[in-house]
Amino acid sequence: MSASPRKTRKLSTKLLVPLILIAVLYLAVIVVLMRVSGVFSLLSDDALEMLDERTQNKQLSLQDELSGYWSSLDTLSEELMTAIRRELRLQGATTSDIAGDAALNAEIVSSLAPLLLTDLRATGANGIFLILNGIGVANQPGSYAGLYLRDSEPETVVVDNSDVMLERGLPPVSRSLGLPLDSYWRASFTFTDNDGAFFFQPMQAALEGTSRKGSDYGQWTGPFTLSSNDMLSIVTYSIPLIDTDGTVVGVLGTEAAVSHLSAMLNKGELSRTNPGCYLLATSTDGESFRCVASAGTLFRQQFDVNQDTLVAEKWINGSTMELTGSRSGQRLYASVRPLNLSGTGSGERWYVIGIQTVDMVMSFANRFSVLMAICCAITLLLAILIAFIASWRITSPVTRLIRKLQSGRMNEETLDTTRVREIDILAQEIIRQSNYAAIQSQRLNRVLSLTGTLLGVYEIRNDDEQAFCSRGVFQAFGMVYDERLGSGISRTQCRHMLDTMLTDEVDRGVFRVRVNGNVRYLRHRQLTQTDCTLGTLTDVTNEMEYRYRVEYERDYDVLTGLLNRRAFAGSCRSLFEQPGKLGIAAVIMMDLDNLKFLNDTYGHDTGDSYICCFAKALSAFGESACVYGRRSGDEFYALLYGWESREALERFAQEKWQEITSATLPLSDGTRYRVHVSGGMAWYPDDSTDFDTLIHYADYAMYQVKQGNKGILSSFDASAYTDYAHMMSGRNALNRLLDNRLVRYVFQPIASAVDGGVLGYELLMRPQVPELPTPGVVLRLAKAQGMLHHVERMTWMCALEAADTMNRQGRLPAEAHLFVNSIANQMLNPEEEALLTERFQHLFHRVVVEVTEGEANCTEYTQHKQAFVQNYGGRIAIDDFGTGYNSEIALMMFPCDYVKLDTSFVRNVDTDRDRQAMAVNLISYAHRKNIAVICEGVETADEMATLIACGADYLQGYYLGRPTETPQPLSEDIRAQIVALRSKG
Amino acid sequence: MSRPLRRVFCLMLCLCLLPAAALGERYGLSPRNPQVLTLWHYYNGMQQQIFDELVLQFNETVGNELGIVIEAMSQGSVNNLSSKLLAAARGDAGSDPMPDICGAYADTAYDVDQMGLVADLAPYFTQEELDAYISAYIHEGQLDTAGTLKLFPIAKSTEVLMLNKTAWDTFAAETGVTLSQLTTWEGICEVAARYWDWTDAQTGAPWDGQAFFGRDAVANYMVIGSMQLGREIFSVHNGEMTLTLDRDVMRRLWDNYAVPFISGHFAAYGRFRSDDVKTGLLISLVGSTSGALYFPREVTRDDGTTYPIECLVLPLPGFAGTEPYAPQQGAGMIVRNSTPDRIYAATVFLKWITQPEHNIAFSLQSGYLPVTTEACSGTLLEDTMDAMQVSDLLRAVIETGVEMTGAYTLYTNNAFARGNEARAVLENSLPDWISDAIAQRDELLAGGADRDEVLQRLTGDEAFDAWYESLCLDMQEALGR
Repeated sequence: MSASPRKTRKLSTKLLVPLILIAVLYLAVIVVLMRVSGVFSLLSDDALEMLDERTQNKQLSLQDELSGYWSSLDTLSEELMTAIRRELRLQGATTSDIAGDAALNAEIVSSLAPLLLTDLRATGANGIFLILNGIGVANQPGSYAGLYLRDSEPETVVVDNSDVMLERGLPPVSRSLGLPLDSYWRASFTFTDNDGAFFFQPMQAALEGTSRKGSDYGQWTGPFTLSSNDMLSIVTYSIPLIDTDGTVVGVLGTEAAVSHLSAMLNKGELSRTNPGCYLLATSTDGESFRCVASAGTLFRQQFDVNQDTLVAEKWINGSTMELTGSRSGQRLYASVRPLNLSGTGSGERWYVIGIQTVDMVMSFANRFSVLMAICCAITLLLAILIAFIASWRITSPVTRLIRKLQSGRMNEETLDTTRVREIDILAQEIIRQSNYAAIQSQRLNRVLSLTGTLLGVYEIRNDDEQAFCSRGVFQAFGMVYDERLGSGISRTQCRHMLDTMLTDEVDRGVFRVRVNGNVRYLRHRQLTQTDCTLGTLTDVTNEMEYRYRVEYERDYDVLTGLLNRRAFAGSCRSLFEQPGKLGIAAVIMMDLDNLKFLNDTYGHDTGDSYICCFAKALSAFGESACVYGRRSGDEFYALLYGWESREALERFAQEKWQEITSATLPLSDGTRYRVHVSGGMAWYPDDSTDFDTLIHYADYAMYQVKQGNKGILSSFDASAYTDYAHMMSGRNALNRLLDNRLVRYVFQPIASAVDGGVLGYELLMRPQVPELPTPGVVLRLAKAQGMLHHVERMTWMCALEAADTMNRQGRLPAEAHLFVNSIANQMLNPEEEALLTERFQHLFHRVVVEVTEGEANCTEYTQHKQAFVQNYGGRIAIDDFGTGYNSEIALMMFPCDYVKLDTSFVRNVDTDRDRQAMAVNLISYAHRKNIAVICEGVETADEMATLIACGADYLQGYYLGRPTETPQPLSEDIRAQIVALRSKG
Repeated sequence: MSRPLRRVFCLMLCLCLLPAAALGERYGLSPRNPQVLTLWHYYNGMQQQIFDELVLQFNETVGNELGIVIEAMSQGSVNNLSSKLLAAARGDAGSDPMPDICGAYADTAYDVDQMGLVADLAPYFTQEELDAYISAYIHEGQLDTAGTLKLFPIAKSTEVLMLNKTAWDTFAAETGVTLSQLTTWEGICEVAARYWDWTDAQTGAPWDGQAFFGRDAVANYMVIGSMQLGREIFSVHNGEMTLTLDRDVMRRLWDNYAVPFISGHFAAYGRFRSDDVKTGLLISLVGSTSGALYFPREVTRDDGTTYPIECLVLPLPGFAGTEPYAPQQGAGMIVRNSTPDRIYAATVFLKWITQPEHNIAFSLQSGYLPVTTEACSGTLLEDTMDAMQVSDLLRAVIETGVEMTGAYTLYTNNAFARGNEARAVLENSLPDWISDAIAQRDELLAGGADRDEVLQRLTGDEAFDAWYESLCLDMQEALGR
């Protein structure tokens, strides 16, 4: 792949990134929508409103509760005043007496006690009190008469009043009402500066005011304690008791214990699920608040009840403020609601304040935010998780697939389906391809396994600094394979390693490498492409060793360790291709003498030893500039080369020859046998530049030596060799001719000298071998080679066959004689005769056997032939008559039918009188003996005319008719001439 | 799945399980969502203030940490508390829901337990924790079923004799009576008679002698006295109560209470005898240690004038020649049988409030006795008293009470069915009878009858027999037999 501008990424990344992006975008849209829609601020507004509403509810309910404390007091005060007036009347006293008469006051209070007890229940207050503006105990100024009843649990009504205690009042009242005295009970009221406000202030106000209505001067006081010992913190509402005349008789009031108020405040929702608190507080300015009662633990945790004053830090809205200064530093929201109470004097107002931590108020909003955040986070996590799972589900089978592919243990059986159709199809396709590749690879492996062992492969990429080298590469070079390194090796390292290790190339692509002292052969194949180089290293050590062994066995003689014939020739031929290196050279052929003698006398082992001994001796020629080898059995040869002069080389050769022939072999009988060897030497380039020729010449020279003076080294003699060569080539040609019957027979007509009719045809041999152009050469060679018999047999067989062929084709005129040249001193044996008879008997009566005059002497053979032929009606002709030294005698001795006058008589007979005379004599002699004369070699019309004139019976020659493939009659012209001549003569 | 992913899963799983594990230990309590428990008690006045203070302290500390809010509410008196509790337990129309924690005497606890509404607290305590409490208190809380704990002791009280020492000193100086006479009922009767005579003699008017002694909780007198005299009135074994109203024993109780009472030597004017001492009508009383707060520093006469007095606290007297017995009283706390988390929350509060420092704080200010051995012994009590600068009177009461827990056999009868009613009979039978007798006496005396005769008639065998018969009848009726 070419360098791509885009990086490749993992499949999982490609899947994950968009999936996660979608999830993030989705969440971002939700978050933005939430923000824009203002849901959060609405929620916080609602939360504040809820706090405010709850506070308002609490304020209303508290107002409702507390209303009982004061609403009925006006009526009660009326009743009390009436009762007081009645009692005063009874006692005969007036309101003015109250101030100083303790006994009167005791009576008044005592009479009012049941009424007060009833009213305590009616108001639902914690306590009720009546304080007369008069002395309580005689002689005790500062003591005020009165009654104070307290019910700690106004909600619990006990019939026998056992829950009501007497706080102030004389003992008789306690006894009459059956009320227990509280721990800090007093018979009368006494006040200190701090605790008298609830009495003095409304009374003072009434004294100063003009209204006769007590409630106009009603006052809330507190919290305070009734006495220093008393722990109960209370709040009171008190009104003055005003007589119709405006006299202020005393004070009537109700009490609310702070704990009771707290309980009232506590009744409700804030304390349970919302750890907040309600306060009952007073304030003069509506900005700083003094706590009267509190409910819920929050306030006590955050503020000092007795000291802290709550100050608004800032107002959130008209009724809600934010508080600071709590102990924990927590921010608090406080909803402030004024209590609508009668008689909160001196400009003070009472408030119900609901306080909650900002966190708590905003808890729903915050929780909503947190929930949203969690939801978003979970959604995101889930999305990521799903994205992971999805990508995992997709990538993991792919990864498994890849691992399997990488591990190479994959086939269709072990393939897990990824359940992703495309990938499954892809996988199937990969498997199909890989199976195909595997089959190919198996094939290749089989081929490779045949060729050798693949050790390692490497790949060097031009675009990668790291080269890939399989473990085998390192092993091939005997290097330690570093597992940590893996296949990683830098490009330059790899190249360097290859360059340094692969230096000794012993064959094409085969390198000899030394690994741990052992020689190893590696075949290095490299495939270089434009961007990478691939290479394989194959261990061919065995192959090479085998090859070397085979080469050795092929090239070296087993017995002697010398080069064998083939190797010697190979070595020499390669030298002959480099004439410069060859210089002046000599081929020496050597043949051990007497090997047969040694073998026969001492056994073949000794013979072998003899051969080895000589082979060893041959090393005298030296190793440089010399090649020597064993040709066969006892034949050796050597090539000495690189010399500059023939003389020097010859001298050297002869010197070494002496050395070689002085070697001895110890024999079993204790004697030492000297090496006997004959040698022939041919010279380069004097004798020939062709190696084979030189070998041949040296061989010839050696044989020359062996046939003559054995034991010496002699040079090649070119002239002697030429004859020998000729003969050798003629013999071969003859053999070839005879073996393959490479002859054809042509027909030359023999015509009658009377009428020109054809007597017959001479069957003339035409050798088809170039070396033997004429039948004469054939005969001479056959004679020299003793092969005449073969020629005779061939002549008969082939000539008759040709005649028979013509006869059968009808081209041979009927009764035309067949003149066959037989060799005089040769005779067919009976088998050959039988064969001949069998095939050609039908022709025998037309056969005329031509016998040479010279051979007529061999009467035995000639008579046999004559008998054989005449037996079948055949005839005898004497060929070449007139050439012998005693022709007439032969004619007398040998009965024949025809004589053929030799061409030497015919040539120029027309002009030579001698020849004419001799011809006349001979013809006349033959005629006397009843023998017809045939004149051969007639080449001119004159010769023919002369011969006819001389009385010749038959004529033969070129003038009459050339030998032809098929028997031809004489031309009409010639016949006409003959006839003309005869008639003339 | 990849390895990091697996790790994240494990972490999330752990985070999910952590709160669950924590919740398991605390029975699902959570400060964010606190358990609000209602508590009914019968403390009034000072005691209520002190108890409320402690409850607040608990709510602000441990309760705030664990998520427990106690809402305490007084129901006025023990009797009122009992009736409201039973009404709530029965689900009477108009009754409040039954509180999670409620003060109760053993009898009430028994009745409610019979309805299956009382939780067994034993599983919420280790033995070590239980061993810290005085075993008699725990024993009472077992309601006759060993191995359980139904009624949990918060604060206990017993009875002591309290004396207006200022008045006594004058009286003793003139008559020669000694404090040692005040150790037996017989002695007190004697002294009371002398005091009547002595006061009678101080004015010219006839028969105007003053009573020397009065007591609250007559049932205690009956039960403890009978026990001292060898007869356990309510003998409970295996849930079965055997009633023993021995005639002789009853006679001796009669003789030592009804006879002097009718004779005017004993008296009861106000609601409690401490009120009578406060107003100078009596100079000695037997009352609960928890009433010590009401014992006065001065006497206030009916006209409101006062004079200061000194107070002397003495151990509870007994019958001559008997082993010392004293009542073990003070309501314990029962816990409503609700959900384990609420019960657990309740026990957390009960454990907290009985921790020695809180227990002593409550005791010292209320006159109750601590319920753990650690709080009752050693120097912690003394040290705390010193530190809190408690009054001499209170110190004397506590010291005497604690001393008695060691020297006396503290007794309370085991709870039994209709025990409340039975106890009410014991509480009211004698006082009602006496009340009638006194009315008769005054009527007779007003009619000019002879005082001695009248007294003889009203305190004699016949009178006793009549009362005894009425007692037995009332008792049978109360027990539904």
